[in-house]
Amino acid sequence: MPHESRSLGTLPRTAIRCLAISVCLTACASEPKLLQVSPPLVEPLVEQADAVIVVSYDEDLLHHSCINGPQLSVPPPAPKPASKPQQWRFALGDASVAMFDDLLPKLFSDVRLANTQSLPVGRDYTTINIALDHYSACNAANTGEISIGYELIVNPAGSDREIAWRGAGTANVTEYQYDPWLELREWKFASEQFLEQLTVAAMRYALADLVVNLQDDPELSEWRTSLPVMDEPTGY
Amino acid sequence: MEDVTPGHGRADRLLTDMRDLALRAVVLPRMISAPLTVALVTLAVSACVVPSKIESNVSAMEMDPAIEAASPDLPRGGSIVIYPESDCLANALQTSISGKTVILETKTFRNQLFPWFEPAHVPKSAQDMGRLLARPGVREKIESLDARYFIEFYTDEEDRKLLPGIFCGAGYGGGGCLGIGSDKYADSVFVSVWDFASGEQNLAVDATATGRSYAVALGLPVAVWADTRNDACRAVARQLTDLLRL
Repeated sequence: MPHESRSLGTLPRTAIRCLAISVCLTACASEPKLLQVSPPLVEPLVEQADAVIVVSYDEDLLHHSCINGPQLSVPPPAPKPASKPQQWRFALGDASVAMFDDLLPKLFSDVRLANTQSLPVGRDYTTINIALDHYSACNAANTGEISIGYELIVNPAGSDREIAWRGAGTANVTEYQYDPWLELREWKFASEQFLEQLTVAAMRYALADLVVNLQDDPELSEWRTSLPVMDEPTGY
Repeated sequence: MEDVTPGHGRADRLLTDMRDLALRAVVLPRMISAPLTVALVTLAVSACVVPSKIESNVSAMEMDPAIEAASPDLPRGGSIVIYPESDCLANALQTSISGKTVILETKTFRNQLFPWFEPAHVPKSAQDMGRLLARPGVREKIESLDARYFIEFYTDEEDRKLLPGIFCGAGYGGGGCLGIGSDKYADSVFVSVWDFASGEQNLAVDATATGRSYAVALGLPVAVWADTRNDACRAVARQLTDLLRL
């Protein structure tokens, strides 16, 4: 009889323990946090070329998503890793598309999206295919910086040749060292706001690199200068 | 030996209670006010700063006489851009410049001239600056913003450590610090100035401020800091204001 009552008493306790362990395991296996990136929208101070451009996005860029391990941390004097490792899901597709959809019409007078808008008759238009070259956040173990690179393949109107138009940008935590209160705010750096800030900065620098390369890269510059220019540079 | 006389004992207890009450009335406020006073004194003293020793160097490049001759009426003042943004230099300049000079917001300037003043593309030489100013729309945009000087700001700051000689600890019963500490700090600020009117880098100023910070801790730490970073910025700001007639 005492043996029976002891067994009955342990049953609910075992159930409670099992429940507690299940709750813990469920918490451990929770979804990685999604990083929301607001694309940098800028007004480049360059001349707008009078050209019809048909844009297509690489599938890998459109559906880009990667998950970093719990190892994302940065060296001193930069952010220290969060006490509880956090997994992040980086999805850069929407932000990149929004960024290029905003930028390209400022560089070219007539920009159309492939497969959705009617194309001019013949082959009197330039095609640009946009792909993500690299995004280091998903394997950025102990670097303290995020680097993004895009590759645009340009196929000029009336030509069979392809020109690679590349742009890359790296945002580093050292940029934040001008802030005298950096050390007091270190705790913030393991947060999504910090990762988002670094990603947006890297995207902006990549964008700057693209615009500068369009003006200065010999092959791109040759193609761009062959296009007529609209009356006033954008950014006026 | 304990007094067992009831009347006597009651009177004694009454006397003891009254003494306790009186004692509490005097001691308790003191017990509360003493840490308050210490905390207030700590705050007041910690707000004090020790003046720094400043060493400043100026290397002024001669302005191109051809440009001076071509534009004799060119006002020597003008709005300035500090790059990268520095609150230290901006605050120091704000107190020394005249009302006519405006410190432009660096972020606005960068956005308006995107991508030409992004970190990887800031002109590094007079040739780069000349090429940039010749690009379509760039000079016009700079003029529309009324920007005259582009001040590149560099700083060489030491890591701020806790003063050596001060030991702090905490336990269940509370915590505190003990010791006497002192350390020497040094901060250097360098600026180089580009003049958009000439496209030349015509001035370089640097200042190094050194100072010693002190702290005494007997429970609470009381520190007197050397504000070397702001002192170096103020020294540079004074030189810039005089030389550029801001």
